[in-house]
Amino acid sequence: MSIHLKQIRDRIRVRARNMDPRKPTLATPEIDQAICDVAIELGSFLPAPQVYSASAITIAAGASTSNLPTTVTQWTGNDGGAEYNGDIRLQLVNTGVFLIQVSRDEMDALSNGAVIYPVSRPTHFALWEEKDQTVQLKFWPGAKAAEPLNLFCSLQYDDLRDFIGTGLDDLDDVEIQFSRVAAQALVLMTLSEFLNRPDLYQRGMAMAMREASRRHNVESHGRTERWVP
Amino acid sequence: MAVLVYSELSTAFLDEIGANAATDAPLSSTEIARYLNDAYADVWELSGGSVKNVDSATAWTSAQTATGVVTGILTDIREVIHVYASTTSGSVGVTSGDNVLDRVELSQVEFFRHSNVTGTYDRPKIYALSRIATTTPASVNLMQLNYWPSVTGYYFPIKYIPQFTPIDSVTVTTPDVDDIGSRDIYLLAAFRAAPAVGNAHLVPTIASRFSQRLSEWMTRKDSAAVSGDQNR
Repeated sequence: MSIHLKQIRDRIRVRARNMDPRKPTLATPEIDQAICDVAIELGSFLPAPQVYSASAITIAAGASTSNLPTTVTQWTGNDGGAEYNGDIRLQLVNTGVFLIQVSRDEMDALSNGAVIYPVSRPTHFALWEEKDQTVQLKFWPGAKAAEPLNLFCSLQYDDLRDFIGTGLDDLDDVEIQFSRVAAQALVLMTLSEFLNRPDLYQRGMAMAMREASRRHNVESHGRTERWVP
Repeated sequence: MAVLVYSELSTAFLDEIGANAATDAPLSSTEIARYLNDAYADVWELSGGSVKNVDSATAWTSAQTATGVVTGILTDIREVIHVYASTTSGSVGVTSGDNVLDRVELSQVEFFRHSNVTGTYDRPKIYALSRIATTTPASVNLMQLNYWPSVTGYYFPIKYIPQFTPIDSVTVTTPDVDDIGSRDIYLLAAFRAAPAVGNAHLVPTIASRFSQRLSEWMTRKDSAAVSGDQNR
């Protein structure tokens, strides 16, 4: 479920009794900037959105490194705006096998003493964030032939202001990828800033926590123990 | 019609001050018009004014090709109530897809024009109005519309309260007030004119027949003038 930013805006205007465009206390750009800022804050409390991207990465033949794409975002057009949230899973397209994620220390241990980096079909990967915020990948072993990878990942919520859309799409048209409950939390938390009412912020946070619980209920296994290969 | 027209107002006015004479009339037609319009101006202001709704071509020059600033055409604007952005040339603000703009200070428009605030809009969202400085008689009261963002291709229909238009015996014969207001016009005019024609003794009688609305307004105005007390 999603909701247009303009609907959130108008809900805020109604609740704040700011419906007179002749003498508005808050003009549209002011409200929208606040919505965008609070949406980032609220998104940081909510479970991260997940995305699947087929053949998103290709390890070049003979290479042992690559990087996560910067184009995997919540909406089209935000190229360069990708921010990953930590849950990364890579699957070899050719075999369907998922690579095992290891830490950088473990990767260093695997490649310790390898003067000539072995190439075959990668089985493990490690990642880290570079100074320019691109996420680097290192594979063990390297790829003998070019290996495309499917990417399963979690993302940070995009900044609503980065929405470009198509044609005449703009902030009015951007769809905030929140549930009903999270959308209402967004309204309350934004209102709290304008009305100087901390109680509204607290109510919004309580709704955000309930929304996080709902997401976990959807995605949980329902078991307290599970086998890890 | 319940609203009195100019001829009826003139007759009633002269009757009230005891000057409805064909021979040796104490007031000329010009003086009568002046008394009536002075009173009409007060009554019109008291009534709050009425609203006109016009399309973009009536209000602005070449709005659809503008990039953030539009010059007005109308010189009778007292106050603009609403400005709309529309992609339809003849729209008066109620066409599907039209949006109403938020009114802000000019400085806020300037801020957003030169800011680095991200996020885009494909249509104007805020506007500011200012009167253009001029000494050209035909250009006095022209308005300038500044809007943001400065997207082209939009028309700007408006709702506005027009300025006062005097009435006369030929062209504008009906005052733009309600029925009670029109009766207040000749009573207020007579209230002011009676002393000038030597019938000051009629003033209390005339004043006693003011409408409730006019009586309260007169009392409040007098009180403010005498003691600065407007809390009535």
